[in-house]
Amino acid sequence: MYKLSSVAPPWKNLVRLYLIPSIYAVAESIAWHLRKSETDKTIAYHIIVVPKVLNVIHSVFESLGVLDFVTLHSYSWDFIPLDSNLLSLEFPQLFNASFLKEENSLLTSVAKALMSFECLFGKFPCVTTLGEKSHRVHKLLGTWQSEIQPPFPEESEFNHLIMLDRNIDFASLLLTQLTYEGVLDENLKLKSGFVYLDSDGAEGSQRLMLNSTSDEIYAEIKGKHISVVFQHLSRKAKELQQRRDIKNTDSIEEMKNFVSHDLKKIQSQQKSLALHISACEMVMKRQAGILEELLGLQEDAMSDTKLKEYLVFLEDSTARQFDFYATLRLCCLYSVMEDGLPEKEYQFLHRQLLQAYGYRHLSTLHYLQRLGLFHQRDSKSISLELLPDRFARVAQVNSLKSERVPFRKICQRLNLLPQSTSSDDNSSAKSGQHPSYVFGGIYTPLVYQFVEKCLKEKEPNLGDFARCFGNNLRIGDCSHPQWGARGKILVCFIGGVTLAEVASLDFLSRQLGRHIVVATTSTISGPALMESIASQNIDT
Amino acid sequence: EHSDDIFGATPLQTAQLSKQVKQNIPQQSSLTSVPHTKLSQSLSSLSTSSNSSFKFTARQPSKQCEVTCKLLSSIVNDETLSSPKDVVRSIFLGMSFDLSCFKKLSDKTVLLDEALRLGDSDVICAVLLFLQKSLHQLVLFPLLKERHVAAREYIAILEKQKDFKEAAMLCADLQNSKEAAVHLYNSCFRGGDQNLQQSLEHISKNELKNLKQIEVESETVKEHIQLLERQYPIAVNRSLPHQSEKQKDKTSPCVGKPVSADNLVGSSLLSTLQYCCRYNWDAPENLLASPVGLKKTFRLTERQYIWNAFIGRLLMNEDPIKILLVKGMFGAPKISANLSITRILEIASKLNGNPNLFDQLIPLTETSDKRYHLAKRYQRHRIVIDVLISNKDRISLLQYRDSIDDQTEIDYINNTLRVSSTRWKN
Repeated sequence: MYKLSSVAPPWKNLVRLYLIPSIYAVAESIAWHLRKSETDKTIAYHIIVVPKVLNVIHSVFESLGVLDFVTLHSYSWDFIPLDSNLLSLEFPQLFNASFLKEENSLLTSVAKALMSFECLFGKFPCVTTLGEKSHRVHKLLGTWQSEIQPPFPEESEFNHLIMLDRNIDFASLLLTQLTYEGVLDENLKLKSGFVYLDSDGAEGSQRLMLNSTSDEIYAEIKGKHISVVFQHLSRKAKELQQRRDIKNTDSIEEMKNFVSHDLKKIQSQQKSLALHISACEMVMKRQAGILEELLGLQEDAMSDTKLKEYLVFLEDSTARQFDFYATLRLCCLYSVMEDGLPEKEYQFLHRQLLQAYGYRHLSTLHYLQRLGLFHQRDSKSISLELLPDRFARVAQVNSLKSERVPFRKICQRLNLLPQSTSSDDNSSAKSGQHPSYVFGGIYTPLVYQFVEKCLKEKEPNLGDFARCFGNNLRIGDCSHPQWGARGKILVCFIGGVTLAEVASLDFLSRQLGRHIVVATTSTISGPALMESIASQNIDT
Repeated sequence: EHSDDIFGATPLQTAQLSKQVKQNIPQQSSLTSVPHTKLSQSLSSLSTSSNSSFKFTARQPSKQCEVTCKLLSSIVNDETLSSPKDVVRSIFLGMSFDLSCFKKLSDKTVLLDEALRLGDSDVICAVLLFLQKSLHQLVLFPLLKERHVAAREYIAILEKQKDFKEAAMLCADLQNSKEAAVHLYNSCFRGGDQNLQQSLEHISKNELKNLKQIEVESETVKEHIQLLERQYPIAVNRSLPHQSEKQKDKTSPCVGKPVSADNLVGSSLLSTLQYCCRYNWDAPENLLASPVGLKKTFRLTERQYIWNAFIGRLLMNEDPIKILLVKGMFGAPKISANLSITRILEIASKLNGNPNLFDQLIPLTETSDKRYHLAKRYQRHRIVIDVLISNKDRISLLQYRDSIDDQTEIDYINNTLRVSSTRWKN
């Protein structure tokens, strides 16, 4: 087995297999490789594309004339369980493709995966979608069901499917996550359920698997605020050491028992404990001195105070070429909360960013403007939407941009900004009494409020949400007898979910005593998002 | 009489016959517009109607003739036999499909609309790829103008195929000139670093002129070209042997990584400024590498200039104090551009600045409280002691004296305490 690189691997077999994601650039480079090595006709190549051989990919193989000895296969896998209540399709390229470039070829695969899910657990009686892409996935799900008509089980274990687009709530991406798993993801990059503890994530480096079913220690700390994690870990270390030491005073029978059963478990726990502690160390080293200041600034942005100092900080940091991704996140947070910057400030900051980090980021800033993350106030949105369009329905959904409710108003209407005037809120935030603890008490993830509303009452009052999101919200059939009954809920994110939001949904499920499972196209974090948008070539 | 024998007719007879024949020839226009089958009929009618001695028999067209006629000219059948709905469905289900039967523009339009109605982007892409091959740009673009979902998908396809010029044209057609400019700008980076400057100049002179309302983008491109024009000579003409480059530069988390001469070309404007402040500090303004020249040409702000000059000088172990101070009111020095002293000191400590710097800057802080904390953090004992003395806080002085090691400072404290004239608070 070889890892894909720019040079062809030293093959020896006659049947050769490539396993690649459905990214055009990757497929193209392979096609060129194969064209050069066309000489030996006895070799058969098979290329498996996950999840689907897109027509553009097929066309590139066809145009380079290699289909004579190459067979293309699609492999559309189902949701992969990353943890006990987190399922992922691991399509990190979906966000850039669907939301940035508006090419939605992967949505069919999401619909397919949901259909397989239904084949196992029963058809969803009630589906609520929030966002345009979610609606498309729902429509495609319906199309697939009517075409293929697979056998569904009689009883549905999951009685509600809630789908959300990533771009409904950008604040969760832009704020620094403060749960243990969120912190690890932002600093050490979670890759398919693992974090790598060497600074470069090199091949032989130590890795830590973040899975609460196999790692008891992780299960205890994963959703906790980072300020309490280290204490917990040191307490645990002492406890484990004590349990090991007990054997000195026991009888032979007990010692034998201990060695055969408990010792192994304690040793493995100690190993994982050591890994967790070194992970904490790495994070603390990286964030020393900066984190507190950034958190303070984020709090100012959310509470709409000290904005002038905020802008001065941005100007100052760009002059010193402070960490690009952190600076971008702060700029975007300001823009999202204030519904865009005034023209003069926007142009000024735009220029400063280009002069400080390189002119090539002109495209980065353009993409951020397209996503609505960093834009000028009252500027006309992309003129495509203003053109007359044949499909009035599609235009209606997109015209939401012109009737768009500013994000701060949405926060106020939906009660996402906790009203904290007293100082003891800070401690409650950290201790995990209120769902906003995942962001240090300054913001409750929108998905938390949405799911709570959907589940709490028999006839949920989603009027606030309807006023905020208009056409983008489509509520499922409320009159179904299973609504509000005790059943499991699947919350599906299109575009990515942050681990802090997963933690807040965990909190909700504990509060309400309901089983909530989170499915997503991939996990995502603020730094990863900025890095992908700012990269030289965005390959989708 | 002699001519009659040779020709067999008199001139008068010939003229009469000529007149008769001319009368019998039908109109010119009707002859040419009739298909050839009818032509053969009229020729035969010619022969039967005239009563001259010219007799020619026209036969009915034979079977062979009919087949040859069909082979020589047949109508091309552009009617499509499959329904767009069925074809779109087969593409959706992954079955094999053939779009080549959709030849007419109206059929293609119906096909595209059917794909858009289904809502699966991969199907739309399949149809668009077919239209890309079979329609000219001038026909395709108006079609896409009315269907912006399809337009977006098509732009994404063009980006993948690295056809940025066409993507830019489509965006310009859709009145999205900013995006068009960005596509053109991105296309310059695909040619590699050596050609970057050339490509930028090319698009600046040509394509960007045709787009409207892109002042920001065109100015960015111009500045980029100017920067590259400066960077090449600066990197080539480095005068000092730069031994210090081999040492690892100290960094602070608040500050970006400094750049060396090897990766100067292609770095950002402020990195270049910092480089020039390090190695070309004294260059006169007219030279390309002069920091002041750089500031003037690119119209940098005071803040941008002072930060980078400060960091540059610090990294070269030079005293940056002159850069930071300006004459405030009443001639007293103050920090220029209102930079935060806390920040300056933070960076200075990480980059191993001279302690003298701290002694000069800390007294400029407004509140004595802040002065106290800063001095304590950076171990500037004299300043701490002076603050405590001005607060008349004897107990803290004693505590501080016991906590430090420096003998001169301990003596200083003891001397101050011995002077009985001070009225201590505690």
